[in-house]
Amino acid sequence: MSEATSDAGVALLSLRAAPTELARERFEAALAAASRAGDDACRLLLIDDAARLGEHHDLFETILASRRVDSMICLAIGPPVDRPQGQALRATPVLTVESVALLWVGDESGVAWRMDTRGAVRPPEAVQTDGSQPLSRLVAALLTAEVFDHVVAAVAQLPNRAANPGLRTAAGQLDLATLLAGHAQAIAMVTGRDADEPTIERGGPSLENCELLVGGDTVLPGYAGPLRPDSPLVRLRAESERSCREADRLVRQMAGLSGLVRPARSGPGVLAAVSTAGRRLGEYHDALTDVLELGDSAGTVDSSRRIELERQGVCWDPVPGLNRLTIVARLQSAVDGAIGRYPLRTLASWLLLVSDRAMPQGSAAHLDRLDRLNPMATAPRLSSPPPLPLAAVPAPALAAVATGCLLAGVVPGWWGAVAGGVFAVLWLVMVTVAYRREAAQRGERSARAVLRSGLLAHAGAALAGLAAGRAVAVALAPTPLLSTVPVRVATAAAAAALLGFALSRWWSAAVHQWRTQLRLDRAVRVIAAQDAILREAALREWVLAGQRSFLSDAARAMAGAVREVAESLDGWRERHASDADAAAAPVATLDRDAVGDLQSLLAEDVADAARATLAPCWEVLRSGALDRVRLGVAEDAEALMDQHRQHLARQNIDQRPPFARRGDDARSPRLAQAWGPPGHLAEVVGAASDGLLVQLCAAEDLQLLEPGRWGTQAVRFAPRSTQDLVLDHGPRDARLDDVVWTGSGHLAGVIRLVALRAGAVELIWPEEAPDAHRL
Amino acid sequence: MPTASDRGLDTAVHQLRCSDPHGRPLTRTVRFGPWHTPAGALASVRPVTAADGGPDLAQKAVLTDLGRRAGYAYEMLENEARIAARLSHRYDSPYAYPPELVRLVGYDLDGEEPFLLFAPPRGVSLAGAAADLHSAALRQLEESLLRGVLALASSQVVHGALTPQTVRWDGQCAQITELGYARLTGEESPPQTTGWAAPEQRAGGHRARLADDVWGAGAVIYHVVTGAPMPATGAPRLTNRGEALRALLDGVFTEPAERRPDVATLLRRLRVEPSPPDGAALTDPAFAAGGHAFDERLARKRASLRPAPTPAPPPLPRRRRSWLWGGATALLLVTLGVMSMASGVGALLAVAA
Repeated sequence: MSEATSDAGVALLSLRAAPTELARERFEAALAAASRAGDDACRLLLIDDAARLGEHHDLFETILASRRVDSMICLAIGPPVDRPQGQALRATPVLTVESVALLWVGDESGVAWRMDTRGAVRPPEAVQTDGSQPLSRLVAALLTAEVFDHVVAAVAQLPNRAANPGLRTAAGQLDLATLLAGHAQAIAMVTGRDADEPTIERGGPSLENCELLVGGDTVLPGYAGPLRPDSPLVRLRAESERSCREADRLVRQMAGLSGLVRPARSGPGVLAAVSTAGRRLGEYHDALTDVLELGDSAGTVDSSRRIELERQGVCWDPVPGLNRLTIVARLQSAVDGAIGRYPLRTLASWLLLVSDRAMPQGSAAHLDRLDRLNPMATAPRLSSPPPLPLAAVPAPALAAVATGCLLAGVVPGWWGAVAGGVFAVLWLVMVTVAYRREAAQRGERSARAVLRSGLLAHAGAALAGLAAGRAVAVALAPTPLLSTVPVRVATAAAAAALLGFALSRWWSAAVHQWRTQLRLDRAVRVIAAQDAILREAALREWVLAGQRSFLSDAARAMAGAVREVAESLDGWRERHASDADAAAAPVATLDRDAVGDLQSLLAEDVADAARATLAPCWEVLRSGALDRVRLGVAEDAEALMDQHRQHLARQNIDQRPPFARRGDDARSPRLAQAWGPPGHLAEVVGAASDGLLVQLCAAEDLQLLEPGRWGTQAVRFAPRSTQDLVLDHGPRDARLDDVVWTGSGHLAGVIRLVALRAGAVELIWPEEAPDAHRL
Repeated sequence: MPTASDRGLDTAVHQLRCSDPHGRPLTRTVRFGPWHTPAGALASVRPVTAADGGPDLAQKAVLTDLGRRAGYAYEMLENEARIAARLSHRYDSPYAYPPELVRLVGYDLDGEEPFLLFAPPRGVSLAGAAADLHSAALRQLEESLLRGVLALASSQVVHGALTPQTVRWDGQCAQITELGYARLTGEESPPQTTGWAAPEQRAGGHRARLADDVWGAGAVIYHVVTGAPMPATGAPRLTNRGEALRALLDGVFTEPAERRPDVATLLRRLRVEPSPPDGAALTDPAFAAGGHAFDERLARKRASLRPAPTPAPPPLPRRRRSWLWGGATALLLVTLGVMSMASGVGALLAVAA
């Protein structure tokens, strides 16, 4: 063991076989080592030869007077100074003060001794089955601060403040070759291989609140939108929409008899409204096309463009939560969370996908979407609308007018002739009005145009019906019932109803068909769709262009850094491949037993190393120096792997490496199978303190001990990370209630402190003090 | 003058003699750098530093060792010279040579180790450079690469092997290099096996067409933007990629060659006017004459390498002929005599027995 070291709050000072004049130097070195370890409250484990305790009295005094040591355990190693006289130790009284515990180790190997029955001793291997050196285990255990404190407290309760230790321990450690092989496999697990397309396309972790930048939802709570409500573009849209709705309303109003009869409803005003709607639609489309072309930059919009776009109504108010710092924070959160869950190379590919999706394409790219709405097929149709499709010779209407005139003229006598004539004339007048409206839309106003429209056919049908009615009337003339007033009124009413219905149907059918041809309702939907495209383009290609470009470049830069970390780790692994080769078989065994526990534990460390390597890159990103993100990444990654390797050699898996994450999510290292078969650890820690343990003295020196209820203390200890292994195995054991749970270390077990018999320790002052007495 | 077989760093000054692309003699005073043969390459390259105040150069040669292992390396070099010379003729003064194309300065195909001299290639190859380019640089690269392809297309040249290894980037401008696989449109082109080549190129018997380079340029752009390699078979999927990439490469990988968008369409998608660089008209007699002159030189060289027919051995002189016949006859008689004697002895022995 080293002469002066420090381990988690306990300084170690060994004076064995060292000249006395060097003792003080070693003491200073031990305290310096403790200081370097950051420990102020110094505990000192002092190891000395049992025969030289008196010789080092001055040093002990100095140590205790220095106020730099709060408590001390003196481990005196050596055979009894006078076995026949029953003297184990000769010490100075300085070693019996409060806060000092004196432990005598009569034999470094010890004997297995069952204190309760005091039967025959056994070789220490009967207890310590893993072949370890009991004294080394005792020292390692005492170097754990919690164990040290409890031992000092336990010895203080013993009659002489002196004791002989016995122990049984278990160690949770793996051999270095196995660790290195596991380390290499963990690196391979963390770095991974290049991902295939389906894996990349599934995407990685989401960028919280930044989905908008990569093509996600465009709805932002609390964001008013990229266009000012009073902007020219918004006004133009409103006017266009209003024109279309108004024109559609007027066209609908043309239907029915009222639409035919009332000039305002079917006059030139309707045509003008439709034409205006078409013109406004065209103007709006042109305005959008112009502004999308004007603002096209495929990146950050320059100042001159921005001024013009602002004049058009684009609002550059900051979008909540989407500034550069937030973007970097989100990206870092996603990447840090993904490391360890995804291989680094897959993560790099995902970052490139983010970069690709975030890249602005310029507002002109949205022109295609605008064109696909085909507003320019609608606008000309509205600007120069087709004429009202009034059927020239509508067979149903002609049949209706013939039937109506027949009904009107069927009454015998003058009534039938007059009624039939009146209805025929009335019909022709209405049809004339309808044809004039239609001709006026075509721009034709001449009588010839009206005649050409089919008026003659209607006249023919009316006359035919009237003639038929008169013929029936003549045939029915002898029937007086038909000449009664009710019959006359009924026939006239029926004729009127029929003619009115037929006229309304004929006219309304034409109006509906015309409305279908105009498709003004679709025009309104097109305007809404155009507005949506404009707003999306304004938000993504103008207002957020800078943020999107930044995210694209930042993700790309980090992709390079992540890939460089992966390549550096793989290069380091390949250069150190020979170190891991020798342990291929133990690793295979471990894998079968542990189902990857070791790999998971080490992979977590390697993932933390990757995060630590990338940490400075985020700071560089925040500063905006994207081209310097990867500076030093390769060297840092390799240096951390060197550090990790050294840490595994020194600390095994007891502690996480210095670069490991701290905090609630950082778990203590724990590897179940390192502690032996299930239940073994609980058995060791719960061993009876008066049972079979390795007592660190020779068999013949057991007589120097004073076992018994008041002469024995026990300290049980285990790392906190093994709590469930100790407590969850087997029935509840009261002995386990007093286990000291340590925050570090790789040992667990029980230390039995047996008091020395009266007179076994002789206290002697130095020569200049002649008084001496025996305890 | 030392041969092109120099392997190590040479600080001595040498006279380098060759021909310029028009066949005129060219002499430069230079120092040679070390040869370097990239993995899988069919030629070696080395830097050539000017010692006469002229511009530095890059020399590309088929060294003897390589030529022995791969005889077709010579054909590749000659083809590269042919195509590069064509480009030099087309974009020669007073026109500006497109910076997107590698430029031939001189050549010597007659030596034991034929070589080409180029203006030094600029920048670095795009292999592994995906993560180094920010969005503005990517846009610049796309435009520059497509301009280079347009410059080739307007010369009726099909590169045929556009990959990240054959395209370089200097931070401002892309440069297309390695014209060994290039062909004129309609010429039979060697089959390709990688995903960088269009599907029709991977099938045998393909004749070079401009659509081949549209696929190749699209593949390079896809790789640089996404960092992903081209799939070995089939087309890359763009459905989940960014809008800008999808819009630019729409139809490049999904349409058959005859309906694939041309390079001018891709440039318009970038909102760039697809005007090819000015150059000598392909029908210009001087342009055609330059090409013919080069082809004739090449043909003469190949003819000079054809082995001469082995002459028939001369007839033997009469006396020598008569000695031969006499000797043959005597041998025959002796053989028959021995055989007879042997059979006679055998019969006597049998009788005696």
